[in-house]
Amino acid sequence: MHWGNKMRWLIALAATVSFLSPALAELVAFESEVADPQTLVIYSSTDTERMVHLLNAFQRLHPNVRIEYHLLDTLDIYRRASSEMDDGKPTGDLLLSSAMDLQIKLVNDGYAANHSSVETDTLPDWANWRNQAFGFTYEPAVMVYNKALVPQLAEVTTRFDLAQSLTFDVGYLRNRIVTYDPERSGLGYLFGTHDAIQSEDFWYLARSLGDMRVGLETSSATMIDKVSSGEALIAYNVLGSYARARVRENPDLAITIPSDYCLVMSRIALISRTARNPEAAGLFIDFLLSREGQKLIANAASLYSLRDDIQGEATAANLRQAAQGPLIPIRLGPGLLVYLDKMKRREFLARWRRAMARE
Amino acid sequence: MTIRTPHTWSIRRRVLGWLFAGMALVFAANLITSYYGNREAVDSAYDRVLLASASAIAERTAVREEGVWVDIPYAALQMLASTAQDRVFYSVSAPDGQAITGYEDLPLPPESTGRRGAPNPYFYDAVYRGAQVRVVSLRTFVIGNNLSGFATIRVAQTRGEREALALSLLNQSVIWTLVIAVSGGFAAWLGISLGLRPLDHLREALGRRSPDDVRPVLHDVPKEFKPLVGAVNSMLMRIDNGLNAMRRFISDASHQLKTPLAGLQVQTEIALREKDPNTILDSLDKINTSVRRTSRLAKQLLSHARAVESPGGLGNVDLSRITREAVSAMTPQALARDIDLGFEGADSAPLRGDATLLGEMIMNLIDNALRYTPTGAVVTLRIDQNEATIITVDDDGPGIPADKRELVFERFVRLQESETEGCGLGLAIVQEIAASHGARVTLEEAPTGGLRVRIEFLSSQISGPLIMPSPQPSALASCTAPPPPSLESSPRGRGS
Repeated sequence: MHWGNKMRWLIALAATVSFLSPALAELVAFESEVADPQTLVIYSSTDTERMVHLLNAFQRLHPNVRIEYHLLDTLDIYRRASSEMDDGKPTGDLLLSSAMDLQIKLVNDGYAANHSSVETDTLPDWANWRNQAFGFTYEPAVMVYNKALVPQLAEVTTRFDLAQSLTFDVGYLRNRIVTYDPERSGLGYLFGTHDAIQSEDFWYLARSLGDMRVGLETSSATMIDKVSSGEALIAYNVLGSYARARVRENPDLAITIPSDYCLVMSRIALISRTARNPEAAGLFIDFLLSREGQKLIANAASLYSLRDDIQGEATAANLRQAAQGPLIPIRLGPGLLVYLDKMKRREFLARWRRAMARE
Repeated sequence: MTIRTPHTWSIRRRVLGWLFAGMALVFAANLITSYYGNREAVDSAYDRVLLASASAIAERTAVREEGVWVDIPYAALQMLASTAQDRVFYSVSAPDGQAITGYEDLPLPPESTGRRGAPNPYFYDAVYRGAQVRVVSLRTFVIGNNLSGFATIRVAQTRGEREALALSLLNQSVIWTLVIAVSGGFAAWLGISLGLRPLDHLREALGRRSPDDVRPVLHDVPKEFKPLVGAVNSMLMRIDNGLNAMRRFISDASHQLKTPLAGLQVQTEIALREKDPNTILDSLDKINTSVRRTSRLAKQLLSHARAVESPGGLGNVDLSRITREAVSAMTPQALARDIDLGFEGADSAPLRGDATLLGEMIMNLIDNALRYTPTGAVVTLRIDQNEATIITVDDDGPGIPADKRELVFERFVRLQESETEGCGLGLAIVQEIAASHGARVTLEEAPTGGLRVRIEFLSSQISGPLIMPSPQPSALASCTAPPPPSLESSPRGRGS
């Protein structure tokens, strides 16, 4: 890998690397060339490869900042940050996570510090909660299908279409459709519950998916791999940001932005209440939201920029143009706490399992 | 007319000061009450949303096989998303108090609620996770599967938006209060300026006056300044009186002294021409008499002027004692003319007055009587004190005809038929002094046929300031100078 010479891999540590637990635990340090640098500790759930351009660009602007980038699972970010703060131990200064609900819970439970700047003021309401949680990407949940194998899937643009295909085009999608497992994946749970909020049609779809023995995965990358190899024909609720990169590499793949509605999630940044270097964390957030940062998000990171004034491939503007139906961003706010409720979760998953167990 | 006093202050500043002090008090009280009023109103408005959230949860609370079941509706928490983005906490507990879901450590109501009789829903304030929160506790009846009772739903919200709204309402009140205060102050400043404008006109008018212009001020002034202008006018009047008196004195004095001085000059010139020592001696004797007469005239002029001016020491005096002293002082003169001068009446007659002036008055009365009565006459002074104090001077001289009596009070008036010397000031002086003591002078016919001068002090005790008589118009024309000294006919040995 060639990620710039001033960055060195220091530790690639996996406390417990097992096949059963996909939990990540990886630390990369981006050294500063300044003699006595300050350290910014980031807990993040975004792959290091996607963030490296942003981190390097940030260091060019602020050469005195040394960055410790901890790649963690979203649930680990939540657990580690909250327990470290409860115990008064040092913790990540900046928490970047795609688990919007868990990030909101951290803010609601008082684990976040305030931050406001010119950049945060430009955010739309739904992407800024209490000046403590900030959305910095705009990633749609899309369908990816193998157009080489089943070109007719281009006709399937809504959830109802998909459920109909599963029900009536008997058999050909059996065992060849994949989606997120809401029981094992936080993002899958977030998408599933917000689908359920949008429409009762979701449960019709879930029953159809259960009928066809849907494959349940924990990451977008795996799902796209399976569609790419032909093991699966279509993946439902895949992160558009991941799909985009893969579609470019593999012309057999195609993306469908659902035209009934398209959920949009946002990665959330927040500063720990007990951050030792909240200034640098704030600077990093401002950089993520700045034109330059958003440009990198739209292009090099391919994470879909949130700002409207950005030119590039993966931008909110492009997405709006491509979408046939409404884009529904998942709002930051106390509503996200609802599906963290243990009874609510139990209820949702029970219903999901009932849908899966049909036949 | 700028008089610098050590302590100057401005009406405008003082009025504005009091105005602002009063306004500050009223406004402070208003702001405090409106802040608490606002807080209450804000709370009751937001409490309704809090209750709606709890009710939405209550609606989705039921009893299932496994016990109390709750399905938090998405809207229940999302409806609490507010502009200030307050944090939200909730908890649901079963009838037996067992926490089912949510934040299990959410504070309970301060007193024992959840019991029967407690208000439902119940709102209270608490501190949770380091923040002030507003909590609603709602009990909802659930039944099923051998279980029934009240499940308790508590929903809490940080006070951020409530405080923000209460503060913004307060800010509006503060802004309006300041607007009112500033415009009130401006209006008051304007009002005072306009209100004081008549005074400016008055000041200009007075400034334009010549130094001896003491006419009363007739300008239109606000009601509040009428007493001040009245006082100024009465002061101007007194100054005018004083000036008039002084002018009259000067003109009287120069007029009256011119003639005797001219006579003296003639006499001295005659004496200087004489060679015979006896004749010179005789002339000197005449000159001496003339000088004495002139000196008496000067004395009388002064005492008249004094009487016209404001009397000095006002005190408790004994009119009887003053009269006795005057009688004994005048006795030698009476004896010289073989006149029987007598006093009868009260041993003491207390009175408020000026002892010197009263003495002067009585001396003049006696002098007058002695001067205008023939040798061997009887002059009697008498004091009666009942409700009023009355002093009478009777003589058995020729008297004054009733139609001439008023005339003799004029200065320098001497009745034509009178042969005696004198300048006619005596009774005028008496009149001035009596008037300044509030007494009335009348001339009557005495029982003995002569003149009776009767002075009645209207009350036995004069209280209050002496009353200044208005000056009488000058009557110079009627004043006859003492007869020019003639070497032949001047009686000798008569002083005054």
